Amino acid sequence: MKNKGQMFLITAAIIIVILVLLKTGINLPEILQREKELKSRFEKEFFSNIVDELVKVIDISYHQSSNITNNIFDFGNFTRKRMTERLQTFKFLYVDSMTPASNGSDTMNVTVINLLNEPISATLRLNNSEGGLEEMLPTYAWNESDGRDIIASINKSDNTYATEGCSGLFCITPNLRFNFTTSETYDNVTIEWKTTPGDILSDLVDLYCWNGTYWNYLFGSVSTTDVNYSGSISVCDNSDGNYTFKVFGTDTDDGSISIFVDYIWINKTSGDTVKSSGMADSTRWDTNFTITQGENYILTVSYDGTYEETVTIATEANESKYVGFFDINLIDSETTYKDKFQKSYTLP
Amino acid sequence: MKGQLYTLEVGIAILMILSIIIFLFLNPSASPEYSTINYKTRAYKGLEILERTGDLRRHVSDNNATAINESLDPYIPDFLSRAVVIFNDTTNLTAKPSLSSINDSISVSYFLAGDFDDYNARDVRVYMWGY
Repeated sequence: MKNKGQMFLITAAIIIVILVLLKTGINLPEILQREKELKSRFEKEFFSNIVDELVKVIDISYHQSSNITNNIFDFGNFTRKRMTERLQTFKFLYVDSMTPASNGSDTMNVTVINLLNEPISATLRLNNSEGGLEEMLPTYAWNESDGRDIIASINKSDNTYATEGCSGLFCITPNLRFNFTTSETYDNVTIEWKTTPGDILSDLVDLYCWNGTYWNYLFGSVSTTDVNYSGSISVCDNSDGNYTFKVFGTDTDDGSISIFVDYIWINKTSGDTVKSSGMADSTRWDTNFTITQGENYILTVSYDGTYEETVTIATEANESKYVGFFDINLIDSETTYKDKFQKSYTLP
Repeated sequence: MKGQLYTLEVGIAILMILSIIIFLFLNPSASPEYSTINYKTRAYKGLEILERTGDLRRHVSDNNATAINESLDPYIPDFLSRAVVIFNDTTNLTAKPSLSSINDSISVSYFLAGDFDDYNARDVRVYMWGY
């Protein structure tokens, strides 16, 4: 009988052990999750310290502006070394530009810093974004078959068009040539053109441009009533100050085809705008571009065909401007932090 | 008498089980200390606050690790031993504690790019042990 009494206590002790184990087991995932969250939050705060200080390098170097890039490069290397010691990864791409306080044409210094832990093949492309797309009317248009001017006076409200020499089924229009004369060098030219509404379905229109050697086929075999085509025709720049297009139309249904070319849209760019360089890890590439003070530019940085980002640069006459573009990757076992941003300054 | 003894033992057993249930499940579970990450967070917060007040940059500029260590008093538990070391790019600029005889230690870094018009990359590192 005495044993029965002990059994109550032994059973109670077993139940208590089970309850304690159960409780611990229930709490364990919660504890681990909570600890993971705390670690992640801590790492994010630490990463924000790095990002803040990278930007602060510019503030600190503000009055010795010639040192800004040197100091960013140095601080990037310093940060990477220190983070590596802590088994963390720091990947950093930095692009900056500096323009002097001057008027007219001048040099803009550009630097790319590669701290991506791998070599890259970097490309910089500078576009003058001043005014964006601009309209350009043809300076001349004629019927290539008989050499006649199609329209003596060309303006925007008078579409440049032709229906001459084409009637009946399967008629072919004369080749129509439109000449755009310019003293500028352009790139990424966009042309807008259209066939006449009402000519439907099977009218075919092709567009060619003169590349200095031969007529270069751009696009065509379009059979629709109203076509607006946009696309790069940089291949048509033969550096002679002219863009010449040839439009060729074939009617295949009702014996009537009209082709209109109203104007072309042109994206102006300055001359030598693309530069490339192979960059080893932990190196900087210093280069420069010729710019016109007071104009706005878009600097595109790309590498290895997989990365492309743009930096907007607004210049101002008699003002020295500094623009820094940061692409930061901070990686820890628990957390990854990525950020891309641009900072612009007017230097003293 | 025996019946009363059984009743008493059953009563004790029930009391034990109820007590442990109340202790384990009804009381709000005590928040675990998550010790090391909490200490690191406290030390980092302390450094961050010192940075905001400008004291951290000033002390680092003066290479005054002692002043930084004293300024961290409100943020780090008293029972923790700690030391502050300032590093530049290549080496420590202030005395580094000997941690070889210490089994477990943790550290927190705070990076600084310098002070006004004076670029100097520094890593302010707080070592803690004794937890």
